[in-house]
Amino acid sequence: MDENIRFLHDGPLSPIKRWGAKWSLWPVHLVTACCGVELAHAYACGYDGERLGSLNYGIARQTNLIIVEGAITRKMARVLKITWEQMPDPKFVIVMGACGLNGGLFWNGYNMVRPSDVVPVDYFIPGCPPTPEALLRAIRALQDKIMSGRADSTARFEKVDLRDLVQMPETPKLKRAPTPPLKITKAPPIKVDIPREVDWDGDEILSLINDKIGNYATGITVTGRGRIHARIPLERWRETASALSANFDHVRSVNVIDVPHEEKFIVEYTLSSYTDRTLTGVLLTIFTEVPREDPVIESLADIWPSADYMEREMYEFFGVWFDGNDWMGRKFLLAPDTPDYPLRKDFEVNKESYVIGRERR
Amino acid sequence: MREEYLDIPVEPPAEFQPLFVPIPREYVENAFRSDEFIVLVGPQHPGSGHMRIVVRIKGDIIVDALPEPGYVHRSMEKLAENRLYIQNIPLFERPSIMDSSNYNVGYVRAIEDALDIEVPERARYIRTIFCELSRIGTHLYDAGIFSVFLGHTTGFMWPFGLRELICEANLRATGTRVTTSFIVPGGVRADVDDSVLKFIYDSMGVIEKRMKGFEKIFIKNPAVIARLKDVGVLTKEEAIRYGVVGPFLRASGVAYDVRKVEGYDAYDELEWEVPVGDDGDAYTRFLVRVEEISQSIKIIRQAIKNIPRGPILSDDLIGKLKEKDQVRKNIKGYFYRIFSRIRLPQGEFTSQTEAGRGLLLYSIVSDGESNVPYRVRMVTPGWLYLKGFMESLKGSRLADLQAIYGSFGYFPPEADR
Amino acid sequence: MAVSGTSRQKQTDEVMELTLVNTVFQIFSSNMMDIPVIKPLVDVLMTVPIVKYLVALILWKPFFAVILVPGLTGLMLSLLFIIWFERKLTARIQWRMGPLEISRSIGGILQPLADGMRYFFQEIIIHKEAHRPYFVQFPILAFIPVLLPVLFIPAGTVYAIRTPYALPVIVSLISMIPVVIMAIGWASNSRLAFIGTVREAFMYFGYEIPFIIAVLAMAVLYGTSDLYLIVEKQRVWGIALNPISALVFLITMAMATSRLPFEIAEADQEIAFGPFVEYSGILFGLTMTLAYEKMYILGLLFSVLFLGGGSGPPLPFLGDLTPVIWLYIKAVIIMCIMAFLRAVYPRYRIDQALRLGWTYLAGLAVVSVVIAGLISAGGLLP
Repeated sequence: MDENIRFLHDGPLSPIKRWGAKWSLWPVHLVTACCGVELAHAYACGYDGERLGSLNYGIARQTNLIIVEGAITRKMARVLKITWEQMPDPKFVIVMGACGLNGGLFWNGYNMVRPSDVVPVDYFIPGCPPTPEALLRAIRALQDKIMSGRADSTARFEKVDLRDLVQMPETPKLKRAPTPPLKITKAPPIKVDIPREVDWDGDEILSLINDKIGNYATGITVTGRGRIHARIPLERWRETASALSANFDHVRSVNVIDVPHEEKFIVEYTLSSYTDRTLTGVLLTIFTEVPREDPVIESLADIWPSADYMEREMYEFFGVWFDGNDWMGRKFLLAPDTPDYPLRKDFEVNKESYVIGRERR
Repeated sequence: MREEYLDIPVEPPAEFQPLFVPIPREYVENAFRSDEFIVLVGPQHPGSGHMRIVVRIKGDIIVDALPEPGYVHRSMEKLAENRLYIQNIPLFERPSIMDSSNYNVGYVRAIEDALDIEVPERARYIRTIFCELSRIGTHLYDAGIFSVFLGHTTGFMWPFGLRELICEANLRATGTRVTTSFIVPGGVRADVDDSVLKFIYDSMGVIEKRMKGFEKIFIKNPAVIARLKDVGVLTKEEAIRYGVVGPFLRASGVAYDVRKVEGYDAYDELEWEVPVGDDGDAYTRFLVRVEEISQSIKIIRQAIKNIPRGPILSDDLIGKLKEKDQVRKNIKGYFYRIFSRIRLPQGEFTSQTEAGRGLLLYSIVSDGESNVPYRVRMVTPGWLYLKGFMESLKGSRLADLQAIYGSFGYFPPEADR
Repeated sequence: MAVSGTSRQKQTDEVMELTLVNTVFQIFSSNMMDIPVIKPLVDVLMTVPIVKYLVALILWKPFFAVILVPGLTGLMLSLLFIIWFERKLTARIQWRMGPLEISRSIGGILQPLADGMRYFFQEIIIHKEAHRPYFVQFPILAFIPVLLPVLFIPAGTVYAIRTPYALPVIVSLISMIPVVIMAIGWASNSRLAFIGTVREAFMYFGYEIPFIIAVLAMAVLYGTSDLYLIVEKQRVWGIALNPISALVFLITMAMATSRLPFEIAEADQEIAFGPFVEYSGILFGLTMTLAYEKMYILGLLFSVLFLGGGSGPPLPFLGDLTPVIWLYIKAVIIMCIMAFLRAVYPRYRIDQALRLGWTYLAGLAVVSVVIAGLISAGGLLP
C-alpha cells in the first residue's frame, strides 16, 4: 500500500471507500475446477448473486475478488498467483470447496496445491461442492469483514461441556487403531487377456479380425461381450495397426499398465469403428509389451489422429516414448514442477492411515 | 512469389517464460516471420474455461490452435489405485459433477460386468431416470455457457434456472444437489419415493414448456443463427478421423449412441430416438443437444410411468445378510459391510457409457487379489473430442473461437480428470 | 496633490471594476432562466450582494445548459440511472432481481454509485509495457469530444452556442471519440487491446458513413443545420417525416455506443474489453462510461432531430425549465431502449456488422436522403 494514499485507507474518506468495496465485490472470471458449477448457479437466476452487488465480470484488472473454485493444481497455482498479482488493491480471496481447504477428495494427489499457500485467503467455504447459499453467505461475511475490519467465522458454536453429557473415565482406555481396509498385493500377476465365457455371437467378427491380423497376433481372446484383446509382438506393432486401420477408424483409449516386477509396460490401444456397421459394438484392444528399461514404441498417431493427445498423456504419465509423435519430451497435461512419470508404480502417493487416541509407547 | 523478410532475432513474448507455454521457440519465430500473431486465450479469460488455447492468427483467421490442457488435472487415475473400489465412485464423478449419474453408472457397470451382478429392474429404471436427468442438466449447463460466450446473458440465466429443478430433484432423492454418488454396484443407494418421482415428472413439463421460450430468445434468434451457421464445420469423415464422440459426432451425421449399441440400464425397454444432424457446424452441434433434451424428457416420462416395484439392490451382493429386507430398500447402515469386500477377478474390464457429452470409457485392470484396482483408465468425452475441437478451429475467425468452444461444450475438468 | 491623485486613481479603479462586474452581471441577468416556481426565491436572492452574482451565473442560460441540464449534471445523473436501469431490466427479463440489497427500499439504485466509489478508490495499475503518459491521459481527454457537443444542443431557449453549423460540429466531435479509443488501445500495448483497437477502427468505418448520411438527410429535410431552427420547424416530429433516417440513426447509434448486437470492439468474452483490457481503477471507470456518455449525447441529438427536441406539453410553473425536462426525458427514454437490446441479442461478428453497415445501412441512408430531398423540394414540410 502506497504511503501517499494512506489517508484513503484509514482517513476520513475510508468509510466511503469501504462502503464502495463492500457493495461492489466483483469476482474475476477465473474458473479453477468443478465448483464452478455451483458458482454459476449462485450468479444465475436461482440465487442471483447480483442482489448483493456482486457481478461476475471480465478479467483481473477490473475486479477485486477471486473466488477459487475448488482444486488448485500445480499448473493453475501459477495462474492464480499471476491473476492475484494483476488485480488492483483492495482485493479479496474466497476459497470454495474442500479441495481448496486441504485437498478434499484429492488430498494425496501428486498435482495438488493448497490455495492458502499461493494467495492470502479471506474466507474458506467447506463442502464438496458448497451450495450456492454457502457461497453467498461467504460473500456476506466478506462484506461484514470489509466494514468491520474483523474476520469473524460465520458459524456460531454453542459451548457444551462434554462432562455433562457423557461419563468419561479418569484414564481413558487406549484403543488400537483399526487396520486400514486396503489390501494391496505386492507384485501381483498382471494379465489383461483373461478369456471369459459370454453369451455373445461374435464369430464373424472374430474371423474378420483373424483374417486381418492373425499372422501378427500371438493370441486373440474374447474378454467380454464385444470385448476382444489381441496380443501383438512389439516388432509387428505398426504392421498390425496398418492392417486394422481400414476397418477400425478411431482409437478410444490408449492405456499403459506398469508392471515393475516383470520389468515391462503393457501398452494398449482400444479401437472401435463408426463406419463399419458390424464393428460398432466391438472394442478391439491391441496390446503389446514394452521393456521397462527402454520404453520405446512406435506412435500410431499418424494412422489414427485420435490417439495423438492420449499418447502425449501416456508419455507424461509413464515415460513411454511414442516414437513419431512430435510432442514427445514436452509437457502437455502436467506442470513443469510436477514429479516425472507419476503413474508409475514406484511413484508412491500418501496413503490414508487411521489413528485413534494416543500412540502406544 | 518470393517471400522476403528481415532476419531479426525474435524474442518470444515476455509472458511465455513465466506462464510456461509449452510451444517451441521456432514456432513463435515462424509466426512472427510469416506476419502472424499468437494470442493466448485463457485460463484467466472471460471466454475460456480452465484451459489455455494458443491461437495463431493471420489477420482475423485462425491458422493453428494448440491446446494446453491440464489446469484441472487432479490425478484421478493414480488416486484410484490407492482406494477401495467403492471409494472410487465419488472420485470418478468429479470430472464432470453436473453429469454425476452418468459417470457413476459407467464405473459401476465395469464392476458389475466383472462380478456378473444382475441389477434389479427397479434399480435399472431409477438409474435411467437419473442418468437422463443429468444429461438434461449437462446440456442445459452447456447451453448456458454457450450463450454467455456469445454475449447473450439471458440465454445463460434461463437454462440455469431450469437446472435448479434438476438439482432439486437430485436433492430430494439423493441428498445432494450435484454430486449424487447415488449409483452403486448392484443397484442404487436408496429407493426413490413416489412423491419425488412425481416431482421429476412435473418438472419435465416445466422444462419442456420453458425450453420453448429459450428457443424463441436464443435458438431462433437471427443473430445467433448468423454467428453459428457454417462455423467450425467438421465433416463426417473428419469427425470419425479425429475420434469425436457423442452429440458432436451425431451432429456430423454418424448415428452412433452407446445407449443404443450397448443397451444398458432400461434403455432397451423404452422408446426413443437418436437425433442426428448433417451439417456438422456449430449450430447443428447445438441443435442436436437441444433435441436430446426433449428425447431425455421422453425417456424419463416413460421410465416413471413404467417403473416396477421391487428391490433396489442386487441379491448377489446382499448375500446372506440378516437384514435383507431392509437393505433391499435402503442401503443405509450396511454400506461398509456390503461393499468393502468387493474384489474383482483378474483381467481387464471395460465399460462404455453415453455420458452427457459423449462416450465415457472406463477400463479397470485387476490383479484378482487386491481390493483396489491395479490400474484404472478413464477416458472422458472431453478428452476424446479435444482433437476434433482444435481441428475445427482452423480456418475460423478469432471471434468464432468462443462460438466453437461453446458449441462443443468443452468442460476442462472433464477432459483433464 | 499626490494624496488626492492616488485616491482619484483608486476611485476610477473601483468604478471601472464595478462597471466590469456590472456588465458581466448585466449579461448574466439579461439571459436568465425564467422559472416561476422558484421566482420568489430568486428575487429575494438577487437583492443579497454577493449571492446575486452566483445566482445569476447559475441561472444564466448557457451556464445552465452546459453545467446543469442537459449538460454535465444531467449526464452524470443519466449515467447512474441508465447503468442501474440496464442491470435491473436485464435482471427482470432473466427471472431475477438485479442489484437490490444495497438499498432495498429504493430498489438498489445506489448500486452504480457504489461501483463508482469502488473504482475511484481502487489502485491504478500502469503496466510496464504501456505508454505511460498517454495511458493515463487519454481516458480523461476522451471527455472533451464527449462533452463539447452539449454546447450546441438547444433545449428550447436554453442553449450555449447557437450557430448555423451546429449539426456538422456535433457530428465531427462525436466522430472523434473512436479516435480517442484507438489511442487508448495503442497506449495499452497489449495483444487483446491491439485486436480490440483494430476492431474499433473497422466498426468506425462501418457505422460512421451511414450515420453521417442519415444526419445529413435531416439537414436536407429541414433546410438548415441550425438545431434551434430544426426544433422550431418540427410541427410534425422528424421521426414521422423520415422514419428510415430515424431507423438508420438508431442502429448506427447502437453500433457507435457498442450496444449488444454490435458490442464487437469491447467483446468481453472474446477479447476481454479490447482496448480497455489493461485499465484498472478509476481509469477503467472512465473508459467504461465513455460509451454511455456517447449514448447520452446521441440520445439528445436523436431527440432534437426526430422527437421535436424540447417541445412538449407545457408544464405549469416551470417556465424555461419545461423544454429542458422534455428533452432530458426523451434522451433518457432513447437510452432505455438501447439498454433493452442487451437482454435480447448476442454479439455479431465483425464481418457481419461491417456487411450490415456497408450494405443495408448505407443503402437505407441514401434512401432517407432521397425521401428528405423529395419532402424538402416538394415543400411538403408542414
